[in-house]
Amino acid sequence: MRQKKKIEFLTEVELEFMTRLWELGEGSVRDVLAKLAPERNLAYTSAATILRILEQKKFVESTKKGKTFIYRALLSKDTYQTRSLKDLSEKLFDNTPASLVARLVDDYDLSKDALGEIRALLDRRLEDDNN
Amino acid sequence: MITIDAILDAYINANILLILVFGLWWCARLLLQASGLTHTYTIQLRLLNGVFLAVAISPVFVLVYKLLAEYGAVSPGFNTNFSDIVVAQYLQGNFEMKPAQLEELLGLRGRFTSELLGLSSSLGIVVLGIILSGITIYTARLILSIVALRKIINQSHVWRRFGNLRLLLSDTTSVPFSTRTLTRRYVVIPSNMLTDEHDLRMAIGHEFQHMRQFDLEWEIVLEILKPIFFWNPVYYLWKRQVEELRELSCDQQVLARKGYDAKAYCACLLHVCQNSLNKGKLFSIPMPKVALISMDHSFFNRGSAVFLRKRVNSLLDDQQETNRRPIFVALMVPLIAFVALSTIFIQKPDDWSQDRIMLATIVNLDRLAERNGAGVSLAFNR
Repeated sequence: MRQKKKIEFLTEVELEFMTRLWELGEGSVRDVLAKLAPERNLAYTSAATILRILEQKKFVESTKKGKTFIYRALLSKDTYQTRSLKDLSEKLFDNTPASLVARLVDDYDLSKDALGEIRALLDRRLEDDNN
Repeated sequence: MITIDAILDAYINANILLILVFGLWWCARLLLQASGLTHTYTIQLRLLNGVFLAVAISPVFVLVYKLLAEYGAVSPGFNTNFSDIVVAQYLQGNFEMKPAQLEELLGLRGRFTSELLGLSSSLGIVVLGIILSGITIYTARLILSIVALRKIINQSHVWRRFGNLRLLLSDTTSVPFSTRTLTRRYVVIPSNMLTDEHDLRMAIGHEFQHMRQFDLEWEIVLEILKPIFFWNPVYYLWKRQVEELRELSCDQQVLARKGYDAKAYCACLLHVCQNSLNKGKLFSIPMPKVALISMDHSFFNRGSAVFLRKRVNSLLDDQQETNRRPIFVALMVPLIAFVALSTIFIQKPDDWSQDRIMLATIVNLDRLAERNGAGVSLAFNR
């Protein structure tokens, strides 16, 4: 079969599955299904298909234990967050992360504690750069 | 050897037939509606496809007629040419017109063909230019749409395989659709649909029904013919009718076969529509495919929302077709007979008939009298 173009981003449903898998570390189709919201009412075969697609897209890998496939994320949540933010910054903020942060600080209704955390992060980063 | 003249002649005939046959099909449709059979969508679709097939094989009718005439099965006096019939009617005094005007009218097609082929006038050059550019542009568009469709299929993930049928899951589409190549058939489902079991089942059922009705094959044929009939408004009306009828018929058949709840089925159509609108106009590109809902925004397909409402109303009406065969046969036989006769009647006459020679003589005498009259008048003025 012809090699598909590497897919870098997850669809909405795939992200939901990856989030559960990141929480679990590793798990079978049933483990992931159990972690989903009860109102999701997703069939086992559909969940298995979504995980199989994620494997084809190289976001997860599977190992067979007895008759069950155990899935494990190949990409960490941090890496995916970085990739998504970079994409957002490039596409929507003209590749200027400062604009992205400014929009976040202006519009996200951050608490004083959250703002303090951001300031501490920035201070730490500036200090590291100076050293 | 087939000459350019013969190709152009066949092209003109095909366009005339398309217009005539669509008009007749429309009458048949009105007849069905007047008889309270508005919901017989499958019959209407089959009639439309049937007459289309008849138009496609119309040269065979001409060939059969010529063979019959050769073996003496047709009376030599039997007039089978439209222009000869008109001339005969004129000579019998059934309608009035100046002879020169009638001759000019009858020679219109011949003059148009020779002007087009001989590039003898600026109008001929412009028309030929428009036809050739249109064919080139629409062919390029068709190739691009096939490439785009191939890309969607290649980027999709194989979900299930049944013989030559592939069920694919795609991240790039928001509307389920089916298409085919020479050897394989594909049903492409948006991957997000996996999370809704009911919608998924109905969408797959709908696409399978399209395959049973051979809608994919008809759609591909119509898309291939678009570059040829691009300028003919009847082609677009025809295509739009096929698209509407195949969806209405498919909905009706799916509900009858699978016993789905009509309200749930309508909800599925609306979900797909909503997802498609959220994702933008990806499916506004016309492609050789058959989709669950049409989001085509071209000039002849502006009423997508109106049509969706029509589909929902038709589904909720819950009227089923019963005993379709007699109605279908009763309409199909005269329609095919009409196509066969029209094909024979619109052919260019092979040689000069007695009536035509008579008309030409009258025209010449008329001209002579006019000239003599002018001469007399000039002499008189002096």
